[in-house]
Amino acid sequence: MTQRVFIPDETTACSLGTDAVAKAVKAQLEAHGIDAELVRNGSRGAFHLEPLVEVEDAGQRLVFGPVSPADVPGLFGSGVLPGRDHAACLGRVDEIPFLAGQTRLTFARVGEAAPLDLAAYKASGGGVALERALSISSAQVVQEIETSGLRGRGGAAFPAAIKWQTVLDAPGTEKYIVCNADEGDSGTFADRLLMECDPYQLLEAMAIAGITVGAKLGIIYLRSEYPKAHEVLNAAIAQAQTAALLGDNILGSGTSFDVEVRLGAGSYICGEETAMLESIEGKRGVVRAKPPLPALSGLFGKPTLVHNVLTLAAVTSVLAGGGSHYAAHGTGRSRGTMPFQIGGNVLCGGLVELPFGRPLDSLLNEFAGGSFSGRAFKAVQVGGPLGAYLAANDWQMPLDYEAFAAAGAMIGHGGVVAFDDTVDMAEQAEFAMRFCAIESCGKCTPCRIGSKRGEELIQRIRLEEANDGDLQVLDELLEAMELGSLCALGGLTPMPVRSILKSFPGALKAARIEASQVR
Amino acid sequence: MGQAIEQVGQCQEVFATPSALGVAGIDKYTTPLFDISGKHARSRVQWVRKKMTLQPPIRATLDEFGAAHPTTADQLLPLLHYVQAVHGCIPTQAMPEIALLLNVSRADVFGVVTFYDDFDVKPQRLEVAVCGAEACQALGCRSLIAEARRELEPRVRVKEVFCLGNCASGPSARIDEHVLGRVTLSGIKAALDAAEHQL
Repeated sequence: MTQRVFIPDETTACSLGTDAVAKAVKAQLEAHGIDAELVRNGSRGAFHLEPLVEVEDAGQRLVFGPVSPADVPGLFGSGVLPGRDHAACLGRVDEIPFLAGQTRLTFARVGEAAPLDLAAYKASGGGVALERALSISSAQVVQEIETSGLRGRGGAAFPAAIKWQTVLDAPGTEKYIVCNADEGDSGTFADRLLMECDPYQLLEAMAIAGITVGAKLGIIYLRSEYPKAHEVLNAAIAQAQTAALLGDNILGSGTSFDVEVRLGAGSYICGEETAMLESIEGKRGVVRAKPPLPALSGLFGKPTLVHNVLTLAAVTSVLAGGGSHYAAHGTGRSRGTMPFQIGGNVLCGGLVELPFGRPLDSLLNEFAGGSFSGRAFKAVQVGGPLGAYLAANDWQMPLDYEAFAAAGAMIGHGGVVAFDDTVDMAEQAEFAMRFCAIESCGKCTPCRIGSKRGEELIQRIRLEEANDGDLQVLDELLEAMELGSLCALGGLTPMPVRSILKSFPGALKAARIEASQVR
Repeated sequence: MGQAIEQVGQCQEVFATPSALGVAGIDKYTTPLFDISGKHARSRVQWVRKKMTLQPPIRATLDEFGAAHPTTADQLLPLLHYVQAVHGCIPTQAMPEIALLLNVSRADVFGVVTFYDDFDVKPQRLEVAVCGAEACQALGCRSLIAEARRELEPRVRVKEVFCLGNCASGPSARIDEHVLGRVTLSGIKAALDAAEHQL
């Protein structure tokens, strides 16, 4: 058996220089005549260790990282692959605390092999879920998802089984599966990591969805900021068609389903499901009023099952391991695992898949290991740009959809962005409004104009030109946006602003006394 | 030229493009408002084509796309990406032709081109996209963007973008398709030098 060296080929890993490391390793292997294969695998999502080099030693994967090109001669210069006794060795993969502390279901395979290695995919349980879906009825598949308690991982946390049942029951023979891979929320990269490192899992899940609800075509709406994911997905689709995981005769069952990737074009609002459907139809990404629900009248007016990448991917775990096995993880009505993404000012950032129910604090201290700057944390924004900023007294809150909702926050897509004590919360509040103003599709007034007025109001507060009346106006404006917006962009932009008003009193306050009160 | 564009607008309904996907649901988006068929219509289209002052390469790009893809309205974004990738922008004079190819109105094409950040109407200089979203704000991207603008413009365009999906290793920037993590101004400069060297 040839020895193998693994170096990730994934956007974040590459942004930290893995290509140069791979080049240096290749040169060393050749120079010293070491008989080892260099594999470009997916990243395991422990980004503080990237560029991370893994060496396979007697079936075990030893970890070295972060490795710079200058470190490479020290690892391979002796003419043999570095072993466990090498000073730079961090141990086996399962001995890395950041990875060992996780419960990986959806991301179990990520980083194990080259993303397009179909044989490795099958060897690690790939395809089992699809075979099972083909052997049971559509109703049984939906039942399994219901048992799992799976909810939408894109942010809205809507029960997946209800959507599947609705599309399944919808009349008509022409239906679509749309995978929302327009992951625009700041602080989130789980969709990208999954698509770049385990693309077959997503394709398998889409095939299961198609077979179950009776759709023949699936579309992955991918944001254009992810060129590597685009490349990997297209290659994976071609391979999957060759292996009959997609195509006219899936695994010899006679059922057909195919997948196509459509690129977005730099618009955040196209992550909203109806705007996304408009965009796929070739139009401006302007949201549609609901109802009709996309499940009944979606893409091209046909019943459409719209799911986020992570929701679909979770379906393979649900079917392969059984719904009750998936539901055994989690707490309350939040079942299963959630791939959280730790980013911002953190020492150890990356992907952390955990069962629901653990406190937010465990992500910050156990996994992130403190801030990158070395200063104390002041605020954590959970759930992307529309999520709440949480202060220290909220960090014991369990990671659970209902607990977050009760606190005026949301888990959203699982992005956790930490800020140190240098952050200006008023500036963050202004940015929340500015972001909404920039990204609003412009269809409804509360979002289009409210965000601009909100930005101006907060600017006035920051310039100490505001009075109590302005704060009252801000409060009313937030309410108007919450109640009057068509979609979640306008409806949830008030969330970060309100959370700052609540948790960081003093950040936004009136500097002047109301003129009428001056005597 | 202006007149030619007007003419294109009037006769684009001529193209009752059959749905290449063969999907009934798309029909309602491709069915022309009214149908002028026959010789007269064809000659008018040819007349407009002749009058168009499109640069031959763009004409060729549209033909290439049309040969390899369905020409239904839903292909607008893929087509625009294709044109932008080949020519660096979506030239204004190409819009009526794009509309004609996909049987949509020029207003639709213009609306889509201007709605999406990715599409430029004019060719762009070398561009560095610096992430300005929250995860990078937590690591000081605001001052990085300001410094980059001060130091690099107008040599390159410094564009603030929202999220490159590199949030655990910020601040992040992108030159071409190459994402830079834990980036500094000197890191951006070095990467720009390397990119310009390649050009």
